[in-house]
Amino acid sequence: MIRVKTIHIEEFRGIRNLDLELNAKSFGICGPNGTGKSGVVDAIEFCLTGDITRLSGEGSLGLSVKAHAPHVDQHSHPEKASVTITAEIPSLGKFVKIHRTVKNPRKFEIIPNDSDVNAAIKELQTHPEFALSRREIIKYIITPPGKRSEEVQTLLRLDHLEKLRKTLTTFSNKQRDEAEEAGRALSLSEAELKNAFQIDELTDTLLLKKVNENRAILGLQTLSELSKDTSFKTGLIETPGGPKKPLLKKVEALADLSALHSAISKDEPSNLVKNRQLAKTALEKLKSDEKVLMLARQQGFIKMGLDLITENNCPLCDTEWDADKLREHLRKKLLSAKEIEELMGQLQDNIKELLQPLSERIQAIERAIKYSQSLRPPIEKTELSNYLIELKKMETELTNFLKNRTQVNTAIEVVSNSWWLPKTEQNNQIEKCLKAVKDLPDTSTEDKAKDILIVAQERYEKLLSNKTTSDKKKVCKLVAQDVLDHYNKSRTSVLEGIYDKVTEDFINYYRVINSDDEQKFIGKLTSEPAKLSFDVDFYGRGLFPPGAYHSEGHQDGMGLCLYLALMKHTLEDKFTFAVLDDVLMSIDTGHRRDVCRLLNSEFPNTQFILTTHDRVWLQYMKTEGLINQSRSFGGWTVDTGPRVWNDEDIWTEIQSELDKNDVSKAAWLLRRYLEFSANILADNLRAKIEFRGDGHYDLGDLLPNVLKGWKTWLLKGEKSAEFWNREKEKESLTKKRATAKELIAKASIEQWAINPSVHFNEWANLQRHEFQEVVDAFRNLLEHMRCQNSLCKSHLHILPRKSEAELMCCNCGETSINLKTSK
Amino acid sequence: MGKDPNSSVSPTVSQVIDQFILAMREDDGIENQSIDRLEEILRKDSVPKANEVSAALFDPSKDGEA
Repeated sequence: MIRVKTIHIEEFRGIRNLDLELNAKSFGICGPNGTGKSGVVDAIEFCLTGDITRLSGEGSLGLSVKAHAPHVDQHSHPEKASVTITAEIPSLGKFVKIHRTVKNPRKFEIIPNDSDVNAAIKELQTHPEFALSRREIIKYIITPPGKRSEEVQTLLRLDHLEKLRKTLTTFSNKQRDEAEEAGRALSLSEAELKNAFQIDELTDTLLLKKVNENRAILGLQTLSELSKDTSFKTGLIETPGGPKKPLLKKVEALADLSALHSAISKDEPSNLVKNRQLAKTALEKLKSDEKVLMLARQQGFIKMGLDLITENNCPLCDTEWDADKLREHLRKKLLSAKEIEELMGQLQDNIKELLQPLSERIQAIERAIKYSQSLRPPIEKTELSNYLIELKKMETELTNFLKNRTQVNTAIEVVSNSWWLPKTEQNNQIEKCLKAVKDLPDTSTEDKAKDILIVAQERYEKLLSNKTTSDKKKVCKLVAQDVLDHYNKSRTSVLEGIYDKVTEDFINYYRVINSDDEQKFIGKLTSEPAKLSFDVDFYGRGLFPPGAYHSEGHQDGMGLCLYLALMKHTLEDKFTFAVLDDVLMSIDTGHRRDVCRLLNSEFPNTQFILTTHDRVWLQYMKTEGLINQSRSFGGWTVDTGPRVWNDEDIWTEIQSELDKNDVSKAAWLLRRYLEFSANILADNLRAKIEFRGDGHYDLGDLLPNVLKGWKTWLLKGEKSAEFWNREKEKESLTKKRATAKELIAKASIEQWAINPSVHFNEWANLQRHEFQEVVDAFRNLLEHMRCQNSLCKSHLHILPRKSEAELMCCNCGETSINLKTSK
Repeated sequence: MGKDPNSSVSPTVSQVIDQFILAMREDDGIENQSIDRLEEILRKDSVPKANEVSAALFDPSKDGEA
């Protein structure tokens, strides 16, 4: 992993030309929506990986890096869109420069082009998770267990294990299918052997009896047992060079055709009728609700939906609903989804029962066609061939339905019509063929017995071979299932160990960011072969999925904590870089400082690049020492890209507008900056603000109370210095308080605070020199409230955050005013 | 993280394979030779295909043996 020192972006996304200096330290980017913050995130991801998740991930249909990464005015000049990053690679102790253009996203220039540097950058490419947006963070939390398993395993670099599970599952399924196929082949060969002796059942005793009856006719020795080496023809003399072998053995053809004729002379067997009817009923049930198949597949989704119904409105679009009614509706759906699953299992069994006799009929018709063509003259076979085509089509359609379960109508058509009785023309051809075979000259009883034994021997050998194959396939099926089971158990056992460690870190992190109300919080990651369940405690009431009861803000917090725990486990001390793109937008202000502390204390060696649209949040990052550098984005236009400034630059910018005599613009900038500062100072100084339920405070609500608080804290500092007999400090604070009064008076706060909206309008109407005085007054006032160390310049803040104030201090520690007046 | 993610399986994957092989060796229904062949392909960088697993477990050259 790396730490970024500088970023140079040209003609990329909404940015025309931008340079950022990060100095390998954590960095904040702040600006309203649509000002180009995420363009910087995209640029970092693109330069390091060649990809932009926003343009290539889920929901990006029709978008591509090459077409849409360049600035809109350069969309046909991808060569002009480029990003250059300089960075250090701590593990190698090297510096690197990486340059990539959109024209060749897969290629990048790298200096130095060393193999270890290349390996480090390629490693980054395999794990784009260093850049995390809110949309991505939620995928670890609000996601079905199966999907979460994939996401988490990808992040943990365990996708190899998931791929291996899929391979072994495919292997096991294939062995199961082959075993079933071999079983069907065995049944067909059993039917053939039964036909040869014209018997209805196949037992060793009956088979041996029939063999010996024919052998007796030929005066051959009785066989006493049946084994795999048994030859029905033992002792039979087949004259070498005897009469030419006939094209058709009457006895064989007669047996097969008689069996076929006998079958089609009877009604369809009741078992077949029953299975067809059951299959038809099940298929029609599926068809009756056209979405029912989808429903079966959506079971996990419905379960998640049930978990998410906590309020009387949709968490996404706020549409109102009756939570109880909706839950009942989903429960019914869930129930029917389970029923459908059972139905599908039963349907599969019914169809398999249909496939066996269908295969036997196909084989019988193939033989009939063969016999019809062996006769002289041959019997017309067109109708039989058509019948064979129909039967094979049905077999294919049923098999296909078992595979993908989509062609319900086709499957209904197949099972609705009985194929058992051939059409009249087809029947006529079978009868004609049978008659022609019967009309063949009779052979002697001895020759007949001889032919039966020869045919039966062929079929017996085929049966034995199919039995061997079937037995072997059964063993393979069992072994494959055992192998898959062993793998799943081993994987689950190892992953549980990993997830236990990740869970432990996750819980600790979550407790840190919710130190006020979640100290007893627990969570649990449960690994199963194809899913990863995630449940968290809800205030001691039990474990539930995160989306069940926790607020969006808490879910965001959980997402971040799980992400950090996973990254720590994956990269350990190489977790040196992460981009968090507005990931904490719904975390409430009370917990944001805790998030900063968590990142600071647990990941001191990680460079975080954080974007936010909330300036107060940015200030927290600074106050808590998470970042000491930032840039503010604003005033984006398609022609110029984002306008970027830091806190210091704002005065330069206001002055620049004044120099151009644009008082209105300067007034607007000053107002925005004062609003920003007043929010931060109100929080830092624990200002006493009149509470408002909507949480919206304007400048008039905040600034007078901030300044009042400021003077109060200075006075308290004076009293404290007096208590502790620190005369020099007291003198200094008295002077500072007098200066504060003077500066506040100059800014005429009390006057405009009564009616701030009028005041702002008045500002815009001031002459340039008049407004210059206002600007100078506020600049001096705000400067007065910062640490005077030019390297710090942070806003002062009160410690602790709650209970009795003890200290007013800056970030660097140079300014530290004791507020305690008792020991 | 391994030095080169493309050159060897991760320690976690290795750990799962170790445990998996051990479990198979304790299973009387699976031949040791089959397990040896399977282990060889599992330790490689890439995930084996289903037919490679099949060949390893049911060595086609030994037709008739499971």
